[in-house]
Amino acid sequence: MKRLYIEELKRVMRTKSILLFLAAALVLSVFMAYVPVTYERFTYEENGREITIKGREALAIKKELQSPNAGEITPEKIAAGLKSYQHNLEIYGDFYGDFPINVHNSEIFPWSAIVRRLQEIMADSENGLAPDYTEITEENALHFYERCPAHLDDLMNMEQKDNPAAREIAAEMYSKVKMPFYYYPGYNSNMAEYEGMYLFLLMFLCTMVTSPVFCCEYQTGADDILRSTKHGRKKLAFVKILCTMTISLITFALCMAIFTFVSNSLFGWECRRTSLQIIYSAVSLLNVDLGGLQNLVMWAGLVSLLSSISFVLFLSSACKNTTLSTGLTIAFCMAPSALYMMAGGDFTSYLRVLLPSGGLGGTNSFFYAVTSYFEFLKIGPATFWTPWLLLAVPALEIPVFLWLTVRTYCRRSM
Amino acid sequence: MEITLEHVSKYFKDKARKGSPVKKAVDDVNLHLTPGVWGLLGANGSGKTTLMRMVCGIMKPTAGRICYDGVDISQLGDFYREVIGYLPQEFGFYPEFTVQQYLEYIAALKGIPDTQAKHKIDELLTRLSLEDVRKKKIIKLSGGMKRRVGIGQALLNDPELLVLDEPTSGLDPGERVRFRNLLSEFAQDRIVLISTHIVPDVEYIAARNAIMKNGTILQTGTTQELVSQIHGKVFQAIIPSQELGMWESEVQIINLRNEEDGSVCLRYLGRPSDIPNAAPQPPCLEDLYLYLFPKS
Ligand SMILES: Nc1ncnc2c1ncn2[C@@H]1O[C@H](COP(=O)(O)OP(=O)(O)OP(=O)(O)O)[C@@H](O)[C@H]1O
Ligand SMILES: [Mg+2]
Repeated sequence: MKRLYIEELKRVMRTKSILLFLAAALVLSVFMAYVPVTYERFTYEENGREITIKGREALAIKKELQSPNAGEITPEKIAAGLKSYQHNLEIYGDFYGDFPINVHNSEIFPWSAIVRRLQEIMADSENGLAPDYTEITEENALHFYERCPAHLDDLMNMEQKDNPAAREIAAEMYSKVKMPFYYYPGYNSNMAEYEGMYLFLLMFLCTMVTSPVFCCEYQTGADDILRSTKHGRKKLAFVKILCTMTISLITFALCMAIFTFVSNSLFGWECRRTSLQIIYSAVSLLNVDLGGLQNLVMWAGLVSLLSSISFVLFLSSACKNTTLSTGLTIAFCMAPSALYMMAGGDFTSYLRVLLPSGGLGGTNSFFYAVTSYFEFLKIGPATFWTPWLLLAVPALEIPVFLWLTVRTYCRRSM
Repeated sequence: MEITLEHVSKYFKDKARKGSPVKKAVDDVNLHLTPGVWGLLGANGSGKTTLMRMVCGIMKPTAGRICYDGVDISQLGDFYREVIGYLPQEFGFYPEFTVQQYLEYIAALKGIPDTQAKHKIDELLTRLSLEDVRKKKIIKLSGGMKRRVGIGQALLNDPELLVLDEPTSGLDPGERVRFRNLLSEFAQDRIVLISTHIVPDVEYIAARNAIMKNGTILQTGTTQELVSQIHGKVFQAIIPSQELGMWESEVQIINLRNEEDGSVCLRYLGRPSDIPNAAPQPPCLEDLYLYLFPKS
């Protein structure tokens, strides 16, 4: 078995197309980690002229400006931020029109991440509309952390009126969120989004490498010879699966290490300690910081990847030729994203959880499920937080698909 | 060691066929294979490949069973595959393999220990005149060389049962002779089943032949036994070339050769009285083949 495994690995590593795909994955890891920085902009005014700085320089200036407020977000800091907002609004009316850019940069921008969250949780409990900054009091700011769970309750009562179980899960999860929150400037939401996109690309590349594994043999006719050898049935199927998994795992580990290293080095490793609640929503349910979120998205990506590969292996064992198998693989990769773009609703949500690649792609991604909305799914009488399902279901599917693969391969042409 | 086929049939679904939608590719075949070289003869589409795939356990018969020393091969699994070697009629290689790498890969699949495999590969490369190309990519080889590599992989595990589907197609005359010698040496105490269209190949090396037609075995026997049925039916005559048209409809021509003086030398199946001055000839397997499969 070991010798066969080594021979098979050697064979695969000699295949040009596979090496090409792996090289593409590596190049993309650096590229996708770097791109979010290029979105950074910083504009200021000098001698009546607006000057915009881009990229890493802009990022450095922004981090510098916000750094006095880094660390623990105390209620006093929130109140100070609100005061700065209100003071300037009193002078200039609103943030639009004539609001001087340089004042914005020095008085508003350093507080923005914090004050935005205050505004969020002060939303009306009936209609969910956020108040004006001028309507919020210092008292509100000082009681920020008490207000957070109350705001979550409001939201849940609005959104999950008929689902008491969901409300319970949400309250339970949120009660575990560590307060006060922490904030380290520099984080750019594109970074996490690009991580999700990169994971999708990685899945795509790995499944493309996987799709010919079995059917290529059927197509060339090499299969007849392999099949008539002693280890050419179950053992070969196992070895092929093992090799595909090995290569995918190594690629994944290597590429994600590069990606994580590059993007965190660019944005600052300290950002990883920022609370999730400061970045997306003060009432994000999960008790993690950004580093934790990065890791979680990565693990979810790995589960989806392995599950997708298992599924594509099965496809490959069942298809007659590589064209068919590649076509189906592409359709399979795109299906969750396409479904989400074209149709929403419960059916799509269930389907996404069932599809091995459901947590990878655009708006359907695991990352969005964790951060943006409170997603719950009912399965029979039980209600689950969707992100957990996105982790668990594909993981459970792996052995099923692999079993089907071996079975289909062994029974072929019988 | 023996292989027995008992009422073996293989049906394929064939939607293109009018009437019955099943194609009986192999139809109730009974065959008892004993050590020695067996030639499987038959026209295109007569079911040779299908039969061989079933003997190798790659395809399951629709009906009947195939036994190795009395045990159904579907129950033998690994053990059976350990003792067979198979060269398919059409086969592919991984494009990235060189000859040597490919043989090493198959040796691993056949579970041959590493050092033993190395020796065996060296030996086979020599015997199949492939030493010079051992480091060459298989896809860059000529058709005949590829087939030799295919023969090589089938022989790697010294199989007790060697099944070769048209092994000589694409081989040049020199290689063909070497291949025959290799086979006759190899076939001691082993069963070798080969199919071919090149009748002289089996005539020289096959101890026994089975003739297939439309999925059934028409006849089995040694070349002599088979050929004896057409004893006294093969003749040679020299006729003027203008008479050729006349005789063509009367007798079944096996071979004709234009002579320099404008006459034609004719080998044909028929009765002595057909053409005047015809000389009887000793029949060969090719004559039988044409006798059994007359051109329609
Ligand atoms: N997988 C299949 N599906 C459907 N029909 C098939 C299949 N394989 C073979 N056949 C049919 O079965 C018949 C026998 O085919 P087979 O390949 O066994 O013939 P053969 O004797 O090897 O011919 P050849 O001399 O051309 O190699 C043919 O009519 C063929 O069309
Ligand atoms: Mg054939």
